[in-house]
Amino acid sequence: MKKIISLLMAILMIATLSLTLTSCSYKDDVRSVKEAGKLVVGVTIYKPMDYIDDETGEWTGFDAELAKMFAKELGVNCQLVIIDWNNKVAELNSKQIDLIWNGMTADEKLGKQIDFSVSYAKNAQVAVVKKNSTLTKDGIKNATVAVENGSAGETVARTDIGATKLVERSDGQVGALSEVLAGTADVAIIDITMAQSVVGKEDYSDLMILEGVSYGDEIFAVGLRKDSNLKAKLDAFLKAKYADGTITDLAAKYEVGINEDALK
Amino acid sequence: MENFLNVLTELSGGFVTSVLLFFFTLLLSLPLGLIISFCTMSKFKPLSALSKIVVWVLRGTPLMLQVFAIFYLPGLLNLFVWPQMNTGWEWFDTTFSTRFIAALAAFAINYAAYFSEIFRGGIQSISQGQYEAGQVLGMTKSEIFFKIILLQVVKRIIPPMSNEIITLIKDTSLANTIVVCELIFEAKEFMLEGLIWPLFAAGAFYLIFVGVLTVLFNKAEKKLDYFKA
Repeated sequence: MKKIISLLMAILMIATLSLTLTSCSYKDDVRSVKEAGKLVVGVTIYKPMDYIDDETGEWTGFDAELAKMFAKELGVNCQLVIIDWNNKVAELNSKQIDLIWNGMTADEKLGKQIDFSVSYAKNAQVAVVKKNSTLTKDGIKNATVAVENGSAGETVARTDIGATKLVERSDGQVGALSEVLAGTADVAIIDITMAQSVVGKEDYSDLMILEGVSYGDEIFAVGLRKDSNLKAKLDAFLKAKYADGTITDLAAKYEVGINEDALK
Repeated sequence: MENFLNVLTELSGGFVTSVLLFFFTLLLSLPLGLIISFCTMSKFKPLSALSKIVVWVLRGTPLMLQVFAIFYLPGLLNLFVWPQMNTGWEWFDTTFSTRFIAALAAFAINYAAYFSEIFRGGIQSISQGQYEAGQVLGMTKSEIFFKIILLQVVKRIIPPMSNEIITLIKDTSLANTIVVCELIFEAKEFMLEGLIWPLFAAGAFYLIFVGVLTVLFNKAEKKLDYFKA
């Protein structure tokens, strides 16, 4: 009797260990999302893409609003969950989340692990000058360039432009702008998202973004599982929302630079 | 001041999660540990060998890795996806989230492995005479274990157990690998806003909790003093 019990316990332990549970496939993401009745989107707190509104306590932001619209189109609820950014691929591939939608830079390395939607937004470095400036793209090299210390703008100024006269501010990109305002620098190299949100407004109304000048393009896309059939739906959704002006309005509201070429 | 209260409220929320994880882990791992210790001591060789391997794996790999594996592996291997609680009671659903349950499973199994070895040490330290005395009195095997052996074991294992249990409350922070919003997770959220001191305030929470535990263990030890083994 005792031996039988022992044997049963041993079998039970092996069974639990090897997790011999019925396996089911989830390649059909559209169906599994609809069956679950919710679209689970992995995010982090990242203004202006995904963040919690202080007053309402609800998720908001450029990406969050789009994600909610997409879920509505699928006829399911939208659930935004905070993930550890380092674990984003594990979260996605283990089906804990259905999409990564968090101003994610789509690069080649990540593309080997997951699929990307059509790119809907972009980040780049732009040149900000005074409104009456006569500086041209070629002239930036010899001008005094203000950047934030350690920023992508600094890298661009050193490598892409090859500027020699650099003013490095350690108090953020706004510090670089104030150099231009004060006339102590001719041009500032900062993020396009940042530039679009402040340049030409209030204290920075005397500044403008130099047309036709941008460096180090990064594109933002939504992350999906490899070969997910959600991609076709998502791409169609993003293009439709660009065509009807929704994305353009949201971009203006949250001051995000959209990737018009990809969405056309 | 308002800021200070806000931080304390957030940290308290995280602390509740940590403490819940702590208590439920104890609740599950103590009996599970006892079962594993019986398996290890079994005279049936395959069973004791198997449970020794299990203990080796559980003690031999980082708990953080086990939490990660328990949460992500089932989905990555297409076995199953941890289900979401859906009672409609928001506090319950968010506190006992999928992530919490997965972390609890990992903690319970891991701590059961450590506890099983402590139990084994305690049980094997009781002299054969105690068993013989029980037999003379005509007690059954289970009566001997529960009425004579167990309480003596409990007294002997309190110091090593208190060590493990104190480690457990601090180990709960490993659950934030899979974004369980426990104390350290909440404290780190403030670092995004540039606040560092909440992390040290979190330390005070653990310190106070461990202080209470230490007092309780001392009392328990004194209460069991009548066993002059």
